Amino acid sequence: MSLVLLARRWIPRLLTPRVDVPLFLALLMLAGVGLMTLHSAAVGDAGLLQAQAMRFGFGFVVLWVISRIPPQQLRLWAPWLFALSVVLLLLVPFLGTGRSARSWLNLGFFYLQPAELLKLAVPLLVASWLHSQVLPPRLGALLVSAVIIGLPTALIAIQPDLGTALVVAASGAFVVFFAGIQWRWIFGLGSAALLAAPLAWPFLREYHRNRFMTFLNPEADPLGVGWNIIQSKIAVGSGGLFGKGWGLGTQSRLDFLPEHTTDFIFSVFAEEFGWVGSVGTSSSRRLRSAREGCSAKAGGWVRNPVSTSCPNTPPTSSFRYLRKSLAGSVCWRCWVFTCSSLAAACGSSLKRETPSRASSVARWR
Amino acid sequence: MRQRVRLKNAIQDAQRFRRRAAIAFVVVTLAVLALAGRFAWLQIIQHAEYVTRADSNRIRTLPIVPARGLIFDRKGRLLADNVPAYRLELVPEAVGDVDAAIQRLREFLPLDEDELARFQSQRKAQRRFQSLPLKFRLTEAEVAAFAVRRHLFPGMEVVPYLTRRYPYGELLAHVVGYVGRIDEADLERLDAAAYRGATHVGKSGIERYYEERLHGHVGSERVEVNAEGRVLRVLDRELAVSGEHLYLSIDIDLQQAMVEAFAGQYGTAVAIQPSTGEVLGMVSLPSYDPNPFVNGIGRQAYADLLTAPGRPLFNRVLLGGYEPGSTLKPFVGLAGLELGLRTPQDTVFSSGAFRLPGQEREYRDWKAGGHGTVNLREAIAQSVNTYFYTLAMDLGIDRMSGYLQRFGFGEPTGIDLLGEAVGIRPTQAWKRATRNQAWYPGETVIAGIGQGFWVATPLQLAQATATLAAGGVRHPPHLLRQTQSGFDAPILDAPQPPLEAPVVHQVQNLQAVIEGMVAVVHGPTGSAREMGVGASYLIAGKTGTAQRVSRIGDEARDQRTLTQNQRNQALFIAFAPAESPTIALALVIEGGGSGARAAAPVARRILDAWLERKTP
Repeated sequence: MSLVLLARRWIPRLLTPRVDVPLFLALLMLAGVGLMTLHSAAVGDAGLLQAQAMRFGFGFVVLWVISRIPPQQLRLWAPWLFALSVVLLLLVPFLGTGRSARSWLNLGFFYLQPAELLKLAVPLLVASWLHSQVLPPRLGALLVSAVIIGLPTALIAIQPDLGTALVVAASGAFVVFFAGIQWRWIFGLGSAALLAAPLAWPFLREYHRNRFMTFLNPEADPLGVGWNIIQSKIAVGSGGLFGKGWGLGTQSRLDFLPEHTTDFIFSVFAEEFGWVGSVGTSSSRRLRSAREGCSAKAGGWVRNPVSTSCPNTPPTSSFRYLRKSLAGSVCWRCWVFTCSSLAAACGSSLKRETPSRASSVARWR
Repeated sequence: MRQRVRLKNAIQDAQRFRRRAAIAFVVVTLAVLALAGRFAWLQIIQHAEYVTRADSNRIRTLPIVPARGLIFDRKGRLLADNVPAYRLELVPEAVGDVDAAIQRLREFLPLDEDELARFQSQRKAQRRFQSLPLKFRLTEAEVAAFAVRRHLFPGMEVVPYLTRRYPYGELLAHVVGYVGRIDEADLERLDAAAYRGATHVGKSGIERYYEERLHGHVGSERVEVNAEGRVLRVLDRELAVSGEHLYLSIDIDLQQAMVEAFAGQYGTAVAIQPSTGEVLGMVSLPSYDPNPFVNGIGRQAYADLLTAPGRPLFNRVLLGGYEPGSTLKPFVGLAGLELGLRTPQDTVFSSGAFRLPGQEREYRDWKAGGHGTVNLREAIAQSVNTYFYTLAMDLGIDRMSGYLQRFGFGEPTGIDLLGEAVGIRPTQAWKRATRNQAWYPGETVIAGIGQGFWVATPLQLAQATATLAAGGVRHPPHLLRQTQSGFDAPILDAPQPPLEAPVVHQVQNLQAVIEGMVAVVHGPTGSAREMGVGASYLIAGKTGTAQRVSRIGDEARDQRTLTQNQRNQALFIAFAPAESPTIALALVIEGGGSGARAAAPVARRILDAWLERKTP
C-alpha cells in the first residue's frame, strides 16, 4: 500500500520535464569535450573511451534522478548520507586498496572512493545543520559545523590523501561562508591559518614538501619530480592561441606528458585546443555549470525556511529558485562524483581542476 | 534580567546570502581571470619558447655514418678495406636478466673479460631499450652457433656492419696504421658534430693523418621520437658523403721485397722516388698486425706486443733516432766542395790516426795503418775517416751543420704521417742550449764522420740521399699520391709539396760526390764492392756503421748489457741507377755489425727488386 503511495509520489517527480536547459547543455558540452580529449589522449584505447562514455551515461541518469528529489528530502537525508560515507571511510583502512594511499573500496562492480561521497555529504550536512540555526551562526553552531567538516577531513588526510581532504574541508567551509559567518571569524581564522602554516612544515610528509617545492620551482629537478609539471607546462604553452588541433598534440601522443589520460588530461586539452579552448572550458566549468552552485546548500534553505511543498504545488518564485539551485548543486556534485569516484580518467582531472570553489559559486542572474 | 532571544530572520538571511554570493562570484571570477591570464602567459606570450621545447622533446637528429674511404697502393691494390662483419648486439630491456643471458651465451661463445668490461661500462651509459654491441667480429662458426640457439636468447641479435680490414696485415702496419674505437682522448680532439654516430677513428699512420678525408661527411636524419626515445618515423634525411679513397705512393711489391730482404733481421728501410719525393716503400721491423686493434685489442695481447723483442709497435722510420755514422760522409764531402774548402782533387794523407794539435787523443781510421793519400772519391769509396776529420776541422761544426741542414738533417721532413722525430744536428748553440756546455774541437772531429751527437731518422737519411739523387733538389717525402671521391669520380693527383730551390750550386761538385758513392759499390777499393757484383745497373751507395744505439723514442737500453755486435747498427744509403736514379734508399739493420757486410746485401736485394723486378 505504502509502495503505491511511494510510486504515486515519485513517478510524477521523475517524469517532470523541468530541466535547466543551459546547465544541462553545459554539462553535455563538458562531457563531450572530455570524451574528445580522452579519445585523443588514449590513442588506440577504445575501451577506455567506451568505459568513460558509459560512466557519463550513468552519471546523467543519476543526475536526472537526484535532480527530481526535492531539497527538503535531501535535507532530511543529509545526516544519513554523511553517516554512511563516514562509515565507508572508516572501512577503507581495513578493506581499501590503492597505489599510493588506501583510499578505494572494491564494491564488486566498481571501485568507490568514499572520500568522494563526502565531497557531497559534508556540504549537505553543514547546510542542513545551519538551516536549523539562527544566522549568522553563533559559536556553538560553528563548532558543530567544524566537527562535521573536521572529522571526515582528518580521516581522509590520514589515508593519506591531503588533496581530497582539502577539497572536502573547503566545500564545507564555503557553506559556512554562505551562511553568513562573521567577517571577524573569517579574517581571524584566515590569519591564524597563515601563521600556523610554517609551523606545519615539519609535520608534513616528505612528498608533500617535495610537491610544494616542485610547485615553486619545477626546474630544480627537471627529470625527477619536476618532470610532470615541466612537461605539462610545455604541453600547455606549445598549444598557443588555437592549439595544435584535435589528436595532434605531440606531448601526449609521444608520451612526454605522464598520466595523460588521467591527471594531466587538461594539459592534453590545452595543447590541442589552445588558449581559446582552455579558457572556454575552464570558465564554462566554473561559471556555467556551477551557476546553480551550492547556493542551495545554505541559501536555498535559508530563503525558504518553511517551504515544504512538493513539485505538484504551484511553486513560488523563491521555491523555484531553491529547487533549481539545489538541483544544480546536486547535479554538479553527482557529475563530479560519478566522474571521479568511478575512477574515471577524465573525471579525476576535472576533479583537480574544479575543487569546491567552483561548486560554491552562487547563482547570479 | 531577560535573556535576549535571537530569532531566525529569513529576509535578513536571504540578503546576507545574496551579498556573500556576490562576493564569492567576484572572487571566483577573479580566479578564473587569473587562470585565463596564466594560460595567456603560457600559451600566447611564452608560446614560441614552449613550441621549441616541445619540438626539441620530440625531434631528434640521428647521424648517418659515412663509409670510410679506402686506401690503395700506387697500383690500385687495396691496403685498407671495409668488409662486412657480424657483431652480437643485445637490447637489455628485451633480454631481461642480462647477466644470466651472458652466462648462458658463454657456454658456446667465447667472451673475453675485456669485451665484457667494455660492454658493462657502455651498458651503464645507455638506456635500456638501446641496442648494445656485446661482441664484435663473430666468426662464421660463432654466427652459426648462435643462429641455432637464437630462440633461447630473445633480445639478442647478430647484426651485420662494416669493419676495417687490412689485408696486408703487418706488412704495412707502420704506413697505413689502423683505426680504433673512439676513446676519451679522441673525443677531446675530434669535432663532435662531424663524428656523430661514428665508432672508429684513425689512430695511427695514414689512417690518422688523413682522418678528415677518409672519414667523409656525416649525414643526418630527423626523426620523431617518443618520451622513451624510440624512433617513430623519419621526418627527413640528409645523406652522408663517403670518405675519399686514397692512393698511396707505396708499391706493395717493393714493400714486400724490402721485408723479405731483411730476412728476419730487425731494422728499418725507406725507399723514395728521388724525382718526386714519393715514398715507394718503408718498413720498420719487426712489425705487427693492425687488424686486432680495429675492434679493440685485448689487454694481454697488447701487453705482449709492448714487451715483444724488437718492439714491433715502435715505428723506426719516423721515430728511430740513429747515429748516421759514415753515411754522412758524402754530405760532409759535398759541404767541403760547395763551401769552397776543397776541390775533388785535393788529397789528404791517412796514416791510420789523426791528432788535434797539442792533444794526445788519436782519432782512428777503420783500417790499421791508414789508407795512404786519398782524394774525395777515394775518401768516400774507402770511407777514410782522416779525410773527413780534417775537413770537419776546416769547416767548423756550425758551418758543417748549417750546410747539412739544407738536406733536411735535424728538421722534420714533412711527411704525411704524424709524430716524426727530428733527430739532432749538433751546433755550438745546440750544445749550449741543451747541455749548457761549451763545444770542444774533438767533437767537431767525430762529427765529421757522423758520430758524436748526430742523430738522424731513417726518413731523414733517405730524404737526404734522394736529394743527392735528384741533382740537389729536395722533394719532401710523402705518401699520398692520388685521391678519388667515390668510385665514379675521377682519380685526381694529390697536390705535391712545392718545389724547392736546389741545395747544390755546382753540379760538378755533386757529380764528384756521386762518383765517390758509385766507387763505394763498383770501385776496386769500395767498401761495399761485394754488393755490386753482377748488378746490371750502377749503384751509388755509402756504408755506415754506428757504434751505439741512440733513440729519440722512449726506449732506453743499457749499453753495457749489449755485445759489441749488438751495439753496432749497420747502415746503408744508396740510389740507383746512378746516372738517372729511380730509387733512393736508406736502411738500418739493428745489431747488424758493419754496414758493408750486413746492410749492403740487403740494399742490393731491395734495389734488384725495384730495378730488375725480381719479385714475382
